[in-house]
Amino acid sequence: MKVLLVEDDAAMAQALQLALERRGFEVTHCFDGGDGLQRLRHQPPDAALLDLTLPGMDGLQVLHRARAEGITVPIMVLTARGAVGDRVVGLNAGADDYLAKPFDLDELEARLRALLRRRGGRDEDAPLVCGPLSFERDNGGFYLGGAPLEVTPREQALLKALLQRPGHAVTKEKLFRLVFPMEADIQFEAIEVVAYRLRKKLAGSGVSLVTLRGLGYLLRADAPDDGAGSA
Amino acid sequence: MRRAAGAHSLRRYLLAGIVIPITLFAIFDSVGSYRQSLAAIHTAYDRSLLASARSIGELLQPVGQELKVDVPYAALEIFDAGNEGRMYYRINGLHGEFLSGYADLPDYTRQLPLRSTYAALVDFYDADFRGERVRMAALYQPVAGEHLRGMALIQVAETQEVRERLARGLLIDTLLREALLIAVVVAVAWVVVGRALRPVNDLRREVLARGERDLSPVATAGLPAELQPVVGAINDLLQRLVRMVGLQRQFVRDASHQLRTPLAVLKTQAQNGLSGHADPHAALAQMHGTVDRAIRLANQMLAMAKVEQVHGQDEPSAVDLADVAREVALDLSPLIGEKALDFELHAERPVWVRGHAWMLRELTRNLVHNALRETPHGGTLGLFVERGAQGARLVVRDSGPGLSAAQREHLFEPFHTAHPTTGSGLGLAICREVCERLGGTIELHNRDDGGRVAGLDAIVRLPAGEAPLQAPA
Repeated sequence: MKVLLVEDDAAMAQALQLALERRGFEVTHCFDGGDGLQRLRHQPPDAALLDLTLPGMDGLQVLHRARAEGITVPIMVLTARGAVGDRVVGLNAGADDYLAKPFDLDELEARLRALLRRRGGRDEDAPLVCGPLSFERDNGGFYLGGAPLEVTPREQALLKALLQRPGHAVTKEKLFRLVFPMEADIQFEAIEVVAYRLRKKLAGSGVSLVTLRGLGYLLRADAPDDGAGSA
Repeated sequence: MRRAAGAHSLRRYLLAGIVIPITLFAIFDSVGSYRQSLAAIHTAYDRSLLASARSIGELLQPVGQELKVDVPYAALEIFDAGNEGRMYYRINGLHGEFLSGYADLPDYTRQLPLRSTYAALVDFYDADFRGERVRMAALYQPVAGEHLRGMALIQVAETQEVRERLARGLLIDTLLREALLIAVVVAVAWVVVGRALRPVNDLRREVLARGERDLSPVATAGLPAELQPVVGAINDLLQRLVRMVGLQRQFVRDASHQLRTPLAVLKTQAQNGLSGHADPHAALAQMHGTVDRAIRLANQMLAMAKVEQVHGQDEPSAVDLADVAREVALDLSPLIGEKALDFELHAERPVWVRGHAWMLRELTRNLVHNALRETPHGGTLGLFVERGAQGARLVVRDSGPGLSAAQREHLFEPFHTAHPTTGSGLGLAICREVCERLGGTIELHNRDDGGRVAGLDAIVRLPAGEAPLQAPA
């Protein structure tokens, strides 16, 4: 997966390039906005990471020009400005996502993959893992500590949704739509039944399904010294 | 002097207030005294006109059946006022026939006035004769002889040049005197108003001449009593500014100190790692923690600055506090999961408040963040959004150790933190600032459970807002 990185700070660029390459991305880097725009025109990558403060043409200008020229490459804006106003301006100018510096590398990777997924589902190599729980894309099966995990289609939909971002909660409303698509006469509380069954299947395995009452659910890999608490 | 459009000038107001009534009065007075003088002139000249008519009447001689008269020119000349005026006369006999004088002088045809100020049958009136305005006296003179008895009519006319000249002179005198009076009044008013307003100008100069850093009180000595309250208000504002600037300086000083601390720690940790005194991986892990702390500090300082800088340009809008709470909870869900907390969110129904979404997010995030830090592993944490009678209420309920009396003292002051190694000490300062901006309050209460502290309740109250006309997508 090709990623174009437009960033004028050499240290930042070097560190980011290393990190992204280790995570399986193919990174091209350029220092200024003009070069970045040329690359977007002539060797369009799968996604671009764009700093806002750049020498010459700044990031917002690159964004404007690229969108005006009909370039549809997904672009994520990275900036140290971090103010809400900038975020709105960036998204209005045609950015697909926005990340304030400093950011966490895992967060960047997750957002970048989400961006690629949204833009055509080409991101099929991201691992879906949380602790001992994993999803094998080859056969569409879940494995818990190496052994296959028996799940119903509904439980499978729920698990897949939660595995997209392990540790992060997904709202009940969203899960309901994913688990019961096109089903009109299902009670909203039915999602709790699915979650309850799944929690029992995962109990004691090192990964737990955590309920945030009133909000939703998340998958959490238990810490080794964490004996007490799976809610 | 520059003046805002529409602002009224005190000087102009005072001048107008003094000069206009006095001028009106002077005009009224001039008209009155001119009329009086004119009347006096008429009376005086009418008397001499009557005297002329009488002296002519004395000359009437009844001779037999006839009335004879012989008027010497000298008789007229005596009453003639110098060479400017001319006099004409006409005498009619007992039966109205012309006897002597100027036959073309118009005959008296008026009705005699019933009352007169003179002991005579006389009437005075204005008439035209030979193209001139003349003043006419018509006198009925009784004549009694042996053979005849009756009334002769004597008319004497005098041109009016003298009267007019005198009246004009009087008018000009009056006008000159009144003009002088007005001039004196204007001059005095100008000087007095100018003097009275001098302190205002002095005050303006003093305030303008100040350096931008000079926030000392404006001197009140020597100022008139009317200006004292104005200067008092200015000084009050200056005092508040001094306090605010002081707080901001303090903030900058504290902030730089706070920023240096993690940098110093980072440097030490890096040196330990490089020199081999510490295990490189352990040193890196420590540095990662220190950097996180610095990031949080920088973000908090930016948030604080941003909340403080919000003024009119950033209009508040209708925000659903329940939505904000949900969003923050989702965002912080990894931390909730990590601590395996028994979490509960109560924010089903929309609770509208008027504010800025980012500010409310910052408020909620800080409170939940604090609660997450204080709550022990596996403890309970609740986030409630309700709409009560008094407005919107946001409650963050943790099961931590609560607040000690010592902590309470400096609770909302910037950079006072109970956790110097992890906290920025800005979270609650930001919360309070946001609450003040949005017209709300924030309270922190220890929750009592049979004598021991069961946790802390952070309660934010905000004025209820109107729901937007169409629900946001």
